[in-house]
Amino acid sequence: MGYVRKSEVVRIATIKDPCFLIPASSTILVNMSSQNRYRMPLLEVRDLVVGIKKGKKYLPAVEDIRFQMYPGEIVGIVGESGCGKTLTARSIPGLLPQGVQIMKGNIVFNGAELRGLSQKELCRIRGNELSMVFQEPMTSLNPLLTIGRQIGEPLALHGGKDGKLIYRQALDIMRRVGLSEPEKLTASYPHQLSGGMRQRVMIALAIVCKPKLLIADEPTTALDVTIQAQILRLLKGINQELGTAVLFISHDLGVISRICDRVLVMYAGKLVEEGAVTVIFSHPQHEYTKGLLGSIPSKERKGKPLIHIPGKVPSINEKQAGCPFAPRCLRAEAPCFTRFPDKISLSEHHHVYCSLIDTSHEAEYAGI
Amino acid sequence: MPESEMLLQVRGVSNTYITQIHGVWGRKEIKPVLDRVDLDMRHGEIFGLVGESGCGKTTLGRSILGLIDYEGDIIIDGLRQNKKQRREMARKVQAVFQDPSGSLNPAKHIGWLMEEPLRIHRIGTKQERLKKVDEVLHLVGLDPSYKTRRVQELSGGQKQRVCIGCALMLEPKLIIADEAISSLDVSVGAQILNLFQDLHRRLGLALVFISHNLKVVYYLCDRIAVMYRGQIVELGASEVIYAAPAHPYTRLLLDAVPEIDQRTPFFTSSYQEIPDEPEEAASGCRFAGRCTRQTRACRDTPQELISIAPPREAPHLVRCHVQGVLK
Repeated sequence: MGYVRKSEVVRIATIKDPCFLIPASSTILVNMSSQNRYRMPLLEVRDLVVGIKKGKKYLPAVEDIRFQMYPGEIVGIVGESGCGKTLTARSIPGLLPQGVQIMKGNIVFNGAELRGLSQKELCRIRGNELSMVFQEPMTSLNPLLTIGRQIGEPLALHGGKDGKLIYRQALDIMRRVGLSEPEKLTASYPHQLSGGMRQRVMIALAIVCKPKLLIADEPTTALDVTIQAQILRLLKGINQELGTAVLFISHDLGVISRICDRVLVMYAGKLVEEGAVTVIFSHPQHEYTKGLLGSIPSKERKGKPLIHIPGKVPSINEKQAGCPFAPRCLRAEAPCFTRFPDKISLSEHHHVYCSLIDTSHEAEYAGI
Repeated sequence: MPESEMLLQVRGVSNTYITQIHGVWGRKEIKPVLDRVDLDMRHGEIFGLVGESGCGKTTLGRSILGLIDYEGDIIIDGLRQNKKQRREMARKVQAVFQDPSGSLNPAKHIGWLMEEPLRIHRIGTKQERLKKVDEVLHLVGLDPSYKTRRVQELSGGQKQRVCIGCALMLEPKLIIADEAISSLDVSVGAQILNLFQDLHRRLGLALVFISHNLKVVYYLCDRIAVMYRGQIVELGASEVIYAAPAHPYTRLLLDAVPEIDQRTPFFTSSYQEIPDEPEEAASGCRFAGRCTRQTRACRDTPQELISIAPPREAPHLVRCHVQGVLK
């Protein structure tokens, strides 16, 4: 009869389930990802397994990571140290250290497979379409070359022939990243600059060829908070103006929550939760994400002890079957120790790998 | 505050570093790091020191520990620091540093390391000392079996617990924690913060917590001093400083920490690009070059710490000309 009882309407309107209270700002994200469905991903990582050599065997340090990045997106990878986030990032441009190699999986960047390419072929892509910013600006810059020379180098390597043009482009990019008086700076050496300026030079170097994807591996960890804020604003600005997609790796959830659109939470080499930042940080589902969020000192928690996760991240020698977080999880049940849970999609923007999630609500989420 | 309640009194402490700027034979330059710092601390108080790198917070911490020479007076629990009283001072104040792996000798086992302070101070017999090690291990949340382990077998958080244990062996009244959680992961850092709070409650331990993250300091500390270029620019109860920062530099530090709470703006227009370290001003406020509300007077007249708290409330000191005029 199409008649809805009044009590039912009220029940829906006042329902207290957190998943119904998606913040207003996430509507933008909803639109974005529905657009993404018809676009080709810029980067697709499929079932990536990265192994570290121990004796004669390779032990998996990163297991079955799969994610996609679309043009212009900022995606964060977050987790404690030793959880494999840096290895994941470094395997994309083929910059894995010695004794570490990709054992399985595909990395498709801009429609082309990167795994299996020779160093020569990778060099054509690195610094041009895909570039990287590292944590330590001092050790990543060459102390013997001037700043101008180093910023011009990628341009010269990737086809720039006119020296004057390269110089002009280098000055432009230095102004873009907020380095004042670039003419003077081009002649100076890395040791003459402060930490914040060095990191700006690193970013200038990375974006000078207008890459489609920028991988930033803990770019602000070594910096002061005030400088960190400036660098984050710079990265966000580059992303918005040039449309560069950024893969941002950090252990700082505050930083991730501010700069990223989507976030991947990693634990012991496995993906445990992924989704839109607004959803994950307001309604975390995995116990590990909850623990990480609870351990941040904030205004509301003053005077109360912080929630901490007991135990520590298992090393790669002591990996067991099942969910890697189960030994530290307060809610772990018997099945957690035997089988790694399947991906559970709570909504289009929120996926979690945890067998404790009550899937009976799934239909409801889908309906909204 | 009456003298007897005071644990730490820092009076006009200054310090300089000598830097050689033009090669090996070049001119030497004296760089001031601390400029007449005054500080008072009660027994059992948790005090926070905040500032960017190079602001002198670590130098102040090291001065209090007596690890470096300085001008001025530092009195800890009635004892004035000098070379003769070095041992007695060490029993009153101990340190926990940023990098736990660098602070522990990798060749020795944990029991030996923790026993060392007692051995140096010739306290007790071997059995008594080892009993004390067990007690302290329990206090920092490790079990006695750790005594026979070596540093490389421990995780970062456990190493930091051992460092705190070493500092506690002599039952000091004051611990200086210099960036003690900066190199640790969030969840491990939370464990260490909880441990500090627990020790504060159980032993009545006073703590000087040095960090660059104002929000962590706010969480842990009763009072906060914000330092900029060797001077204290704001000092007060942490609630007051957090809720109503009076100095523009404190405001800047607070805004710079990205918080998860999405309601507070971070990438908004209210933010102004702060220039990198400007040239040192001849006189006047040291922050003037980066300040958004500077006046002419800021650049010319030297600033003093002024109290801006209403009478009969906890003192709130600010080194800002504009703020003084406003009140």
